Amino acid sequence: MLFAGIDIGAATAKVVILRDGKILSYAIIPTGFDVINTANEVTRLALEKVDHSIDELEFVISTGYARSAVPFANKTLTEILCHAKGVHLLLPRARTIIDIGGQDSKVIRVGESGNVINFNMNDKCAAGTGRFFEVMAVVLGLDISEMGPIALKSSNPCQISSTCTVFAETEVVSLRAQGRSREDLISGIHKAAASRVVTMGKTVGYEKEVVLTGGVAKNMGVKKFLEDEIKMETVIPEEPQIMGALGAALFAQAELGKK
Amino acid sequence: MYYDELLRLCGFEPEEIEEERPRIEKAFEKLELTPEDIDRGEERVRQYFDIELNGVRKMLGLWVKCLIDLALAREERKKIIYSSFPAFTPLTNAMAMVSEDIFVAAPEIILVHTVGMIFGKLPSLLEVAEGDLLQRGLANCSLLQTMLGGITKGVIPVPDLIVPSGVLCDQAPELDELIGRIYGVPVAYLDSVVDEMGENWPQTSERRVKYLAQETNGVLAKFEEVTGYTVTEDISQEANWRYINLLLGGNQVLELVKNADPAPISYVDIGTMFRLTRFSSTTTIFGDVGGMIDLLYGELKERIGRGEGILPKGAPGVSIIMSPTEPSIVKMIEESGLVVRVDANATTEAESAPSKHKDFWERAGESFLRKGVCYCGLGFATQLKQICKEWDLDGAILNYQLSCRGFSIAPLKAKELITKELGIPVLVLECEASDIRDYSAEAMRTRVETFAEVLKAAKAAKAK
Amino acid sequence: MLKPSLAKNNFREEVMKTMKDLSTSLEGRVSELRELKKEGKKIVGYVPGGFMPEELVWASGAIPVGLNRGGDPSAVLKSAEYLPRFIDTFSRSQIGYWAMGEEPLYQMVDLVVVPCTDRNIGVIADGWEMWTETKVFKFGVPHNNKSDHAFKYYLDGLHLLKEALEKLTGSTITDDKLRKEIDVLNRMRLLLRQISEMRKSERPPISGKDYIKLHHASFRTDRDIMVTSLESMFQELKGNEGRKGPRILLIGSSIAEGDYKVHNILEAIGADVVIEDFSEGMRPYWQEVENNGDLVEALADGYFRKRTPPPAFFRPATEERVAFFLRLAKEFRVDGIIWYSMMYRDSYDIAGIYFRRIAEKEGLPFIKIMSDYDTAETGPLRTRIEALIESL
Repeated sequence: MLFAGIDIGAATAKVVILRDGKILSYAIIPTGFDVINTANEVTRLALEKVDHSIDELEFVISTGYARSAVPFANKTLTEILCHAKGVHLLLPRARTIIDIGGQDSKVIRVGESGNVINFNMNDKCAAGTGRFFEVMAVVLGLDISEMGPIALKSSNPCQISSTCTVFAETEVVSLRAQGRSREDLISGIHKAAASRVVTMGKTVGYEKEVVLTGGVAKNMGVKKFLEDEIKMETVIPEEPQIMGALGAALFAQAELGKK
Repeated sequence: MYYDELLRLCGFEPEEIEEERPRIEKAFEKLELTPEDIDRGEERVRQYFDIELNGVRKMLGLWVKCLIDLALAREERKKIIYSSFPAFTPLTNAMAMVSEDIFVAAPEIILVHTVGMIFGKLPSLLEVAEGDLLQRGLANCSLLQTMLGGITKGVIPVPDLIVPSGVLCDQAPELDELIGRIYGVPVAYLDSVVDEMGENWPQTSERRVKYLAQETNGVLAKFEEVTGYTVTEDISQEANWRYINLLLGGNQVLELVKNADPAPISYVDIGTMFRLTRFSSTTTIFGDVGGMIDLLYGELKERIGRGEGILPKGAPGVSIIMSPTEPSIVKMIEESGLVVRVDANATTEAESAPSKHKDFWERAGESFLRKGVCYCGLGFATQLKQICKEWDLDGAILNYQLSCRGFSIAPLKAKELITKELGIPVLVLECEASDIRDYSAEAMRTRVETFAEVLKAAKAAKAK
Repeated sequence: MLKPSLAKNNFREEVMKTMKDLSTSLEGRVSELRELKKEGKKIVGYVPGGFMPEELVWASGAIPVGLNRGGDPSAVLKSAEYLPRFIDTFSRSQIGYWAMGEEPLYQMVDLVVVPCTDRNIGVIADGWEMWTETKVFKFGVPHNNKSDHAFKYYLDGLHLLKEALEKLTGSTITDDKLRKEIDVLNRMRLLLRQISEMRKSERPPISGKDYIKLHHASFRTDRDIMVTSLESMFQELKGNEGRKGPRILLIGSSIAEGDYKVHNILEAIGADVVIEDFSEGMRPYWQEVENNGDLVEALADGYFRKRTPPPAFFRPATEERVAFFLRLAKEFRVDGIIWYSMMYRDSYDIAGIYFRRIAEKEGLPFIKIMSDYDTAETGPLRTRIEALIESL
């Protein structure tokens, strides 16, 4: 029997196909303007790889900010629950998840069974999200994938304090005009974003093991500065972007047990 | 007429509509309410309110009546007194009781419940205020913006006297001073000082109570100077007695639904009823509120008897800090499977200790100053914890009001107190009660739904 | 840690020396206070908004220190763990400094006295009370200094503060001690006023930034040392001539120690502040305390009833404030006004709206700036200030 979890985020859409509790296939594509289309497309892609089709799915759960727009989902759940579930399968010792997505960031505390104990989420401000790094990369004329490695090269990160992406952009431009090096600037951007996320999660608290998920987890600069801020090591799952979709698929599988 | 159906939904009797028609039309014209607005109002009333209950319909009708009275107060040759939120209700009621020539109201409260809650077009007022004086993005109070927008736009009259309440904020007296200057209106400040120590809550210091009483007498002197009417102690007593009766009526309804499982009614309706009894501050509807409460009480009792509810039995119960006038927010919380049981306007047992004061205004002021929001950060946090304890709740959603210092200082501390001492989950949410341009229910849904799952799991674990 | 520096190169030799001495004394102040604390002295922190008479603290044998740091984005960011984001920036920063643990004064105080003037400054008291173990004294200030019952409320507050201080130190505040302290602080106020008024000259002998730094120094230095420094500085400044340039009246809510960006921008383009008024971060110097009769009542009279000008959170205060500032503008030959308030300080935001109308009517160029202690502000701020100066 096949189960699917679909996570439609602000930047990317992810799907995980599950069979017998194991990941059979997954896919990630950018979220297009037409969310319904995106949902169909990403699911079709993942299923095609293993020669299956949408009709064969037993139960589908959608998550992410556009979760209610997936036409073939049997149920919706929030991505916070799904991230916790997904991470728990792969890293059962995880107690804190820092998820940095395209449009928001979250700090989630999880219990021994992958249940959510407490969480905080910042969705009003782009500082400390994938969008923030995208904007900064454009300002600096870089590809987003180049940012992390450069960030690690500086020993003297600039101070960037803006709480707003738009103003941070102005700030970066003026720091550049002051002649600060590209390394210091990029490093400062990472430090600022990490510090914002960590502050947001302080009321939730950080407990070992700390796992990073979301697209931004792939950025080694963010990992370093997050670790500096919380003074703990962090772990990144092999494919940090699909944790939400994986969790949704696990919940979908569990649904069948209920019946 | 195109608005008859809406008014019927709001509990107006057909003959009442006929009789009031000239006033209704004049008021709606002044308020710039178009047929599209009326349609939207109808849709929203059906969507968000429990109109199966006549009590709920009557309650909505009373808000509409407040609005009509407010819009026409100048034409109807009233002396108009505005008090800002949170009004010291015994004082505003006493001024209103003096004569039929006096119209006293917190106009922003009426506007957010009608132009906002029913008609869903509050931005039309907010934007006027933003364009004129109060810049957007600076966390200005949406209630004050509403009042300023209403006056600037001319949909509500310029008053004869403003009584800003400086009890819990600075913005109201500052803005009222400004409005007073621009429109040449006298201002009678009701001042207070927020300097209690949280560990003493709800004991209120004697000198603070005395200071408010002296300020109250100052306001009454100014009122007499402007209107020529004297508020005697008898009038104050009578007004307060009526007010307390309404509060008791409201509390009875709250008591009735407190432990009812399944929850018989949405908190959208209960919260709106509550605010009508506490904050509308206009006596033009005074007599009718009691009848509405009795009706609602009877209907709810029957419903509870039939075992009907809006959510399945055993759904987790939560408190909220404030019940937004924008109904979609509480509806969203309920859609996620949580029962909203109470908000921070409720009076806890801890606060109902008898007063040591003898003077009428000191006694009245004391219970006002005991409210956590008028007390201090730690005091308010303690009150929020006390509510969870007395109502025996499964969790708390601390939805503090954007821009309101009094309402927002405590939640992070309250979260710590509640989770540590009561062991129940807490969600802290930055919220806006009336202005949903940046704070729609959708923007909060992910957090509330997740929290609901956490609560259900916690409740199930407890049951085991 | 803060490194105070008052010295400035366009000063004459003697002034420079006095400034340097004061700087040195300030630099050593923290370790000095540590020693005093070891000897059993109590340190009383307070929010310097001119409503907490230091005379009482000195007379009790404790040492008052003003908690007035500000200007760092990091403290603002840190405060997000404790307070919502839309509280006045200066107030939020205070809990931030405590939480960061890097500013020694915030860690060594035995008691914090917060005059609860408006709801934003009141948050400082709430912050200390909710999140720290430090003892807090909330000192309520009514918003109207004209009525008898408001005066009584303030006066009663002083008596309660006196009791609290006596309990803290275990010594009695006698009239003799109090009289001596009132004398010293009256002298300090007078000197600050005299030095301030020297700026009426075409070439002010002291820059706006140095002048405000004198105030900031006075919150931490021993009062006797401060008075001695001010005495010699007053003499030395007499022959001094500074730069000639556009003259600014700076009005605002809080001017924190470390927040000198407006001064820096002005200095860089040859303009300067010649007169200023802030609710926090300055020592009100337009009024003195009568040193006779009931001394606590005299303090209430000087600090509350005669407070000049009334701060914006007094109600009503606008008329009196406007008249006062227009007079200052004339006397100090001001070319333009900069209104500098902290982000989300609502009382000042709204007061500024009316003030702009008056200033424009009087033909005084006016700009209103709001700061969140954000480094990104500097660029746009410079542009706006430069545009104002160009328009003069």
